[in-house]
Amino acid sequence: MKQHTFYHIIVKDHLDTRWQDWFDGLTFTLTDDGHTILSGTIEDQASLHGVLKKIRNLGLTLISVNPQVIGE
Amino acid sequence: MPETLLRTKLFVPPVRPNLVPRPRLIERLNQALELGHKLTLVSAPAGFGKTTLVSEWVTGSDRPVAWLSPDDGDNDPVRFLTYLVAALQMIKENFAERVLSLLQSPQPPRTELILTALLNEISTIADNFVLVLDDYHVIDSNAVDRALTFLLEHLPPQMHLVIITREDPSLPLARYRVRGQLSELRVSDLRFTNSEAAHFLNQVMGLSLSVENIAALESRTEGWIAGLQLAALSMRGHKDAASFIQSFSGSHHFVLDYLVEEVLNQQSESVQSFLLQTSILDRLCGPLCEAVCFGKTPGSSSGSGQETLEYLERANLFIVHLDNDRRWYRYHPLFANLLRQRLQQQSASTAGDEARGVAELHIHASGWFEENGLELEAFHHAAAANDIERTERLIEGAGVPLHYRGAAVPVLHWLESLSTKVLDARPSLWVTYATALFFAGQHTAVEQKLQAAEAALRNAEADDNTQDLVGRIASIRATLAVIQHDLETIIAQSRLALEHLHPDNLLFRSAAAYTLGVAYHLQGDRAAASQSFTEVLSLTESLEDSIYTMAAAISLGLIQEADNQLYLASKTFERVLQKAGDPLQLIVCELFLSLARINYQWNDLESAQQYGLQCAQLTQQMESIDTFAMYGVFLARLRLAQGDFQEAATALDEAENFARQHNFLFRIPKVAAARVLVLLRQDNLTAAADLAGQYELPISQARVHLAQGDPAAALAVLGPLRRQMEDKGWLDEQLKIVIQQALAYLAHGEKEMAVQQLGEALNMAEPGGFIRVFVDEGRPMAQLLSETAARGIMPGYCNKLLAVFEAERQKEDDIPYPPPTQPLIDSLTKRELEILNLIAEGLKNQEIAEQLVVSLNTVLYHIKNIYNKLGVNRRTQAIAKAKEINLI
Repeated sequence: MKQHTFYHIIVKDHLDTRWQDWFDGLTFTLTDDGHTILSGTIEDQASLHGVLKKIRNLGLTLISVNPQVIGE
Repeated sequence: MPETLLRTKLFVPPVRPNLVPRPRLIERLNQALELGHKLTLVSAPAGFGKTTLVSEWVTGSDRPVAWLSPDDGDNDPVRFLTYLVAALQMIKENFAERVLSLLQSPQPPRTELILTALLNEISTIADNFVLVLDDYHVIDSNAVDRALTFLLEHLPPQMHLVIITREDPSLPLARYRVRGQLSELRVSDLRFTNSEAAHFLNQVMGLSLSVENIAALESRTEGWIAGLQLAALSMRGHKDAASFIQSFSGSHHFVLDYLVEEVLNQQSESVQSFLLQTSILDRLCGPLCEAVCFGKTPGSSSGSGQETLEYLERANLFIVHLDNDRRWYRYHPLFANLLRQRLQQQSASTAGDEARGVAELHIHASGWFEENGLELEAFHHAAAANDIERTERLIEGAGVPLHYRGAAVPVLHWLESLSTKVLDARPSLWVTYATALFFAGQHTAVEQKLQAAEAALRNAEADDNTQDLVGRIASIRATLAVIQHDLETIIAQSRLALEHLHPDNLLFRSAAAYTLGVAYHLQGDRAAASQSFTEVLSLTESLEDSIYTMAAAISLGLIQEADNQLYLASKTFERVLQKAGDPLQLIVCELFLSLARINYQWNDLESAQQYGLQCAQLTQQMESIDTFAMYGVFLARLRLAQGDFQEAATALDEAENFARQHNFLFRIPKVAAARVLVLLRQDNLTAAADLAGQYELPISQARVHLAQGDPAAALAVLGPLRRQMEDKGWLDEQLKIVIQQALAYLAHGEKEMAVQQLGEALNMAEPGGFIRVFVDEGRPMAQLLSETAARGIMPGYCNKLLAVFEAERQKEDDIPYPPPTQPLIDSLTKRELEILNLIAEGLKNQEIAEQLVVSLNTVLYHIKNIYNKLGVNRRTQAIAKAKEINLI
């Protein structure tokens, strides 16, 4: 049942790369229009919700969450 | 031993002076009360001033306020509700102590039963009041959400709930909105308006910014209060505020990242490290901070921790005091998060001798909490430090482990987080795992952990510790077997446990002795059972209020009752009740039933009825015990003695239904035996004979033979039966048999034999003061007693019994049916009366719900209250009772 999925999570504003550890090693990409894309594999739904909770707790504005199943 | 409550979770956060006035929001909160809404939801991300707003509002409000800030340990519904009751006790002293004791019993009843009891208690609070749940987003548990939904569905009108959260809770909010029961304050309401921002920056933070600068800041932060505060703090160090604001507004940077750097850099190095190191704490006080930062032992406080905390508060550095003594503080959660992230990064980047590991900080914190008796917090920090040895020691505690005391869920969470390898290296953890699962009610998962423990133990040295673990494993298996009534396993495993357990392991030794006693008791070996229970009592003398102590004492009292030692049993129970204190533990219901039977035997029917009611009230709160069936049997005897055959039959119907529904089939013969008595009193010999035959009830069969005028057949049954009971040593059965033998001889014309047998019975019964066992036999017994007294055999006792016969006869002459004692009836509410009338009209529950436009649950809830108030259990009884007292 376990299916690792690659995610792109977009939040508003540029987030310093030193937050990468906090977000379990997701890669940060800063976009020109002032967003940050957090991308990487996320093990399961529980850990996805964990990431979203961290985003919420920092008061970041969530723009989008996009999964991309590996192997597709 | 209730776990020490962290009272700071229950304080209304003090309002700081110099707040930005927000009359528009205060007005909205007041409106919710005026409109009679059930719930106010304050839902917005961190840093929008939610808590500040609500605490300001409640401080200025006339209504009493209960406040609860749960933490993630409260995801267990039992713990959550424990704190909820504790919060309500802040507005009403000793509120719902009974509910609290239900919650703190090692195996609490179903949440729904607790909630119903809690709702009943809430409806007794005289004034309208507000309950605030702050930071509800830390609750991530369906069970807690369900409990809250249930509370809201049935919420008494005097209570208003306010939920402060960062995410909308899993409650049926849409339904509340449609019904007009919900008020909401959301981000668009909470963000600072332009004028609020101006007030905050210039008056509260003491800056003097131009209108344009304020507008720029307000727009960059979108009215986010935490962002504005950080910006204001940063600007205090900048000479040129305008250029700071320009660079800030132009950047794409995350506001927090940008600002927190600025703010921290303005602090001295020692304050910076204080902030980082203490960020691991959910709540801070001076001595605790010193312990964390400097590894100081309690008692050696220099006061520097407190000074720093006060400095931080003066400097507006996102810290709030939690009590009015300014002893406990907490960081704003958002700020704490930022600090923790930096701490983690710092310790990762400076790995080496100099780095103070985060783990070490947690160990210091754990040590401080342990010294100060806050065991659960000590456990949490030890677990966070990943110090397995320490964590395990803290779970074990000084006498009774944490998971025996309502903390099974956090302990389970920790164990779940450990790898199999770690658990295998410490087989004792597997055993703890099994026990915690048992106390969390997950009985089916226990055996697997025990097997894992055994597998891990195969490689262990056969030392004392290993032996003790083998003993623990056996004891847990014995406890599991008790639930399944598997006598062989209980006995084998309990004995195995007692052989292997360390002599000092009193908790497990008493558990094993108790399970052994239970098995002997179930087997009918009363002497052995009594010995085991006595052993439990001597083992647990040094352990304060162990559950086994009380259970063993009650079991011992029951055996004394069965041995006809009624006075001794009554004394044993009195001692238990003294220790049990108020509120009572659930297991006491067996005790009340026994006291009811004893007082019945003493012909004190009033006391018997009272004890019976106390038993019935307690059994309503428990699900899986058979006491209610036996209560029905007692009640039937009582009703028979009062001459009310119909009520007696009803009590037995209910007992039998209950036993069938809950699969307590082994109780049905007892119910049948009581039913034979009712049938015989109604002269229904055929039905009585059928029933006695169907369940193979020898004493009942003998009674039927006697009633049929065939005393020889009765004697043929009784003779061998008596020898059996003599072999078993069952004195209560022997007494009943001898009495029947006496009556059979009398009917058979053998008067001398009859008198001799009755003499034996009197000898057996006198020390216990039995009355009803004779009086219930009616006229032939009175005749035989006169004969016996006339022969000089125990004349005093005989005459005492004959006096009771005489009193009974007079009562019968006066009134054909003695009036059932009328319990006081609580007045029914308007709604309950309305529903009662609909019931009387013959409407079904669903129809009533539709007619009144309420949910089926609400109707069931009201009906339950109606039954309770009328002291009935069924619709027909409710109607009859209501008519009888002119309610309808």
